[in-house]
Amino acid sequence: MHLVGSSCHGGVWSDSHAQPIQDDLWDLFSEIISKGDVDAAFIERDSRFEDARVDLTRDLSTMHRLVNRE
Amino acid sequence: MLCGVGYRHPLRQWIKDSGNTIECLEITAEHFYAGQQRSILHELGRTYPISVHGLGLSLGSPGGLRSEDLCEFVGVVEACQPRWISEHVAFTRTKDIDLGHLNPVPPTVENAELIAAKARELSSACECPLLLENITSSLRLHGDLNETDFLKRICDLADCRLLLDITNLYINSRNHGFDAAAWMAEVGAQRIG
Repeated sequence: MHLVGSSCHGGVWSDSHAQPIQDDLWDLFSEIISKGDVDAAFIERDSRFEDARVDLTRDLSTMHRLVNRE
Repeated sequence: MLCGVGYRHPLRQWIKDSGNTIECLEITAEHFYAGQQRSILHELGRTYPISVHGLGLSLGSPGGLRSEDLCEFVGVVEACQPRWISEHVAFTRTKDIDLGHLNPVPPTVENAELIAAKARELSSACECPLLLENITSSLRLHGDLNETDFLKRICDLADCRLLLDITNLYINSRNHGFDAAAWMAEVGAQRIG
């Protein structure tokens, strides 16, 4: 699976690859891992690298917590 | 399930410092084409379970895989010995032009067969399990299949799983007004890798 931050401008959503991952996305993630047998999930980040380390550390921590809850 | 990140060169030191919280890495094949950064590739392959992710093989273009692209992709695979490889259900080039963008393919039986045949060719050349990714698009193309039946048919014909990009699904569901959870149920959790 892939997870990447999204954003909304002018009512149109896009995958900005520059944001932390939003709660709606984590809800979908939890839904899938509760039902399926996924091998791996990757968080992607392609810009705003100056903030990426903090965001990715937090997002990875969230991912581990949700996976371990299953 | 393994938790990882997409490898990008600016993140290299952070990845090294993160220790075992990063359990696997995805590398972008094209970032390592033409022999670039082979020592990094070898090191990553020795350290982590790797997925090699392609952006530009253009499985949705007519015809077979371009031999020069396939050769480069296989070279990256040989250098890091991945556990998985992946590409998109999309086209990125016409006969003459690399569009540099993932574009949607009309969801038809014919296109499902085309993409599945190229997916099998890629997986066979790499001797590695392949996953195929759903893309985001502002266009909703129509064909003789709906999107979930199209993806299921491709995965079944290619004997591969879906690399579900949760964000792409979410964005499409918001922009085009459908239920992401219902979409996932239609695809079936067992197809998601």
